Amino acid sequence: MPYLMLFLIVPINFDRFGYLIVAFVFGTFIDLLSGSFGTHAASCVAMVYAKYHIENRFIDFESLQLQGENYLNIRSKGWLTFTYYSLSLIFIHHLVFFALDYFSWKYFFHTIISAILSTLGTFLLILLYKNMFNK
Amino acid sequence: MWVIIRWIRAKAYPLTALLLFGFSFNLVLRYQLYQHSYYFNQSVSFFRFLDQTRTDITSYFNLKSENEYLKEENAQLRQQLKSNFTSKFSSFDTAFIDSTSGIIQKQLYTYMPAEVVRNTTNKRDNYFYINQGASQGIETGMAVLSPKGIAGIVVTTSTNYSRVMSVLHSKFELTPYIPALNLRQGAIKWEGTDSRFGSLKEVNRTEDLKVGQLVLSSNYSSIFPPGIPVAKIKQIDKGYQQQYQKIQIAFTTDFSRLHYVYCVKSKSKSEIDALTQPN
Repeated sequence: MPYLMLFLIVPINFDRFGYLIVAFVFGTFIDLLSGSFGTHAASCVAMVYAKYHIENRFIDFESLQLQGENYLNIRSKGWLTFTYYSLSLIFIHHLVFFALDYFSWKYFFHTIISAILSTLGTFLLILLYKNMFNK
Repeated sequence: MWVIIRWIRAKAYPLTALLLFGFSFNLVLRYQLYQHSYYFNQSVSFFRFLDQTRTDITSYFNLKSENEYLKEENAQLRQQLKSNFTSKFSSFDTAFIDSTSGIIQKQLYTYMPAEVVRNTTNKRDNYFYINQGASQGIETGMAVLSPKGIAGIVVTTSTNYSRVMSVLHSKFELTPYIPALNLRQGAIKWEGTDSRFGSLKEVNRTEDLKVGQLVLSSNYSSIFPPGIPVAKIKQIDKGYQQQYQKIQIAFTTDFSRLHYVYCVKSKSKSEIDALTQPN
């Protein structure tokens, strides 16, 4: 699900309420196209909410703004920070998504394993896109 | 009040997130078939468990009135036994065991007791649930009787529970039998307003009905056994130059106090239904 890259490059001073609603509408559009009502919307909303808190706790935005950047990227904060940041966000999104998709405690380990593997896949795809457009 | 508003203002962001998340979760539950059925099954079994527990507890409190009911019913049964040939229903082709004549001892109806675990009377279409299901031999289309009269028809069964369409339902219809006039005409319906009263429709104005006459189930029904009390005529309005009378009837069953019921299995139903199937 590499569309999550769009959430990672949203500017940091974007209105947080508007961001939630945008995430919801965006997720709903993806749901409409993929025929899974509500699953993407719920996971996008969960991810954006988590993103707000993660950014508040762990990311120093003042230094980012001093560097003249709008959002966190590899160039400004380095590989490690970027990897932790995006992996955790993508994992939250995928966890909610697969939890809603399997929707049963019976498939608890299926959910976790699918979330982890899809997180890695999505992360690789995001790196690919980034490298494609940064060149 | 201000405290609440201040709290909402302070927590606006998590609340918005929760609202949107809940809305999409609702979408998932409502429109995705697998999730919907999973959620539905889980909640149904949970509420059945609650209902069963509640029934287990409350049935002790109702013991006294239930005993009254049972006494009444026993009396009724004994009466039937004694007056097999002299009762006013004797012109009727009753299909119970004819123990006195001994000519054909063919039992057409078998009775199974059950307990009501959930019941509504305040909706337009009412259902109640009984604690007997497919594993106890309940099938769809079986009649359900209360000690005092008819109660409904089984519509769905699970392994241990069944859903019964109550008489208080828009789709319920039954041909009445009025023994005083030997009349088998019209339809018993429920209007959807008062759980105590129904109406008797499509009875010609020439039929001379009287208030207080007993309405029984007729032998035209393949579901209900004939001769079961249904209602008493409460009010008759012949209207002005109308073909049919407006008749209000009072059900003999008190639907708000349904507890012990009997499921009736008709052995002739499948045969009759096979005949009515269009070829």
